[in-house]
Amino acid sequence: MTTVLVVDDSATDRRLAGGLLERRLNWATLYAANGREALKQIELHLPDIVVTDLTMPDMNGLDLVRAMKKDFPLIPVILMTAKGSEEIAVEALQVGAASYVPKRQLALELAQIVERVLSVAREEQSHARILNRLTHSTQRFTLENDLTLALSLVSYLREAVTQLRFCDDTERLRLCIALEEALINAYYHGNLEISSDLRETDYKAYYELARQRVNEHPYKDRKIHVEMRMTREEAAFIVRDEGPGFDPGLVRNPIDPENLDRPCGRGILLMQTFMDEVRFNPQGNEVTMIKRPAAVPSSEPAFREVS
Amino acid sequence: MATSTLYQVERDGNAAIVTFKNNLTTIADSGQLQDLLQQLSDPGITLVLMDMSGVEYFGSIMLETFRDAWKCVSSHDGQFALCSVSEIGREILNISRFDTLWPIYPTRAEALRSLRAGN
Repeated sequence: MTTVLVVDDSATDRRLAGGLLERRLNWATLYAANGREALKQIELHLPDIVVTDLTMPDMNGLDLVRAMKKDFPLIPVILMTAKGSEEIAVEALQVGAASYVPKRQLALELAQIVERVLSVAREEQSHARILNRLTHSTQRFTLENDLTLALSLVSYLREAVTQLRFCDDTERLRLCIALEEALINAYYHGNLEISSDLRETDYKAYYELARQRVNEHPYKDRKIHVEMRMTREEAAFIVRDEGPGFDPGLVRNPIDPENLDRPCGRGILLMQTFMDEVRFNPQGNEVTMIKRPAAVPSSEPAFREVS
Repeated sequence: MATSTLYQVERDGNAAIVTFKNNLTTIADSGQLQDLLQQLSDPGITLVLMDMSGVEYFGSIMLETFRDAWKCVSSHDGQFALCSVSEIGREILNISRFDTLWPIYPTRAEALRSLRAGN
């Protein structure tokens, strides 16, 4: 049976919301008078969905949403908003609440919104269960030499890595930064063949040349090829451009105090710092970057199971 | 003062506070970097503060933008600083050793107070 937890410091509102769901949907209902009580109930009973007031003593609705996002990310939360709570409601939606119902519309809208949100959440949970059983994924992309497109790919791959729960938020961010740097290198230095030396002497000329070459042969026809191969043990990202390549050994060390005020090698430095392994092919137009998830205890699978 | 789709520059006396709005990787390619540096080259600006509160992370292009802005304000003996930098942003500044070049403050108010007091 579906279980809903209704959280409100007003006993009347609590009973009204709970009663609506019990009557209309025949669900089991749990109650809590504030966020702190709600977290205890969630831990004990793992409800399917939470409906909460925003303004409450001893942990308000916003703090409850934050805590649930961290510890129970798959249980959806619906806010019950009253006049004067609009700002906090917007913030709660930004941090992860699924939807909201104005208190004055509870009788009309609550059951319908709760059902809709729960249906979407169940679909997401079902996808998450399947993704937890994914053992290998390979995706290949061929991009025009377009920086905006490259950044869209980073965003897409970030989402893919998130869905696969490959590593934690911080490591995912580091992975994305490394990937972005590899794509920037492929774009400017690889396909457009623009050297950092020009950036050092004249940044305007550097970017002018980039804008010019984007429309010129042979640069404009070149592509960026990206491959992501992901297993439980590692994620490999291979980025190849169609330029003549470069010798990574000739890149100046960007953290040498003499080079701090020069535009050199910082992208490669970030790639090397944030990935576990970075290697170039002999031609220097392809980089392979490997990321491994942090070690987990042997009893715990690398891809954490979700309920 | 002037705005762009990627940043906003506010003047506060001799200070220019630059607030960034999003991922900045396209700032250079879009030509907006030149516009920003042009604004910061005003000799009346002796303090440039990069307020990073709206930026989740940044990479080498942003680092080079900081370096350009720092050189620009240094050319007329001005100061350069950053504030409200995310945890990963601080890590990137540390990796690149740029945290040895510029002060980084937790908040904009603290940065302005401290820099104006000459600390």
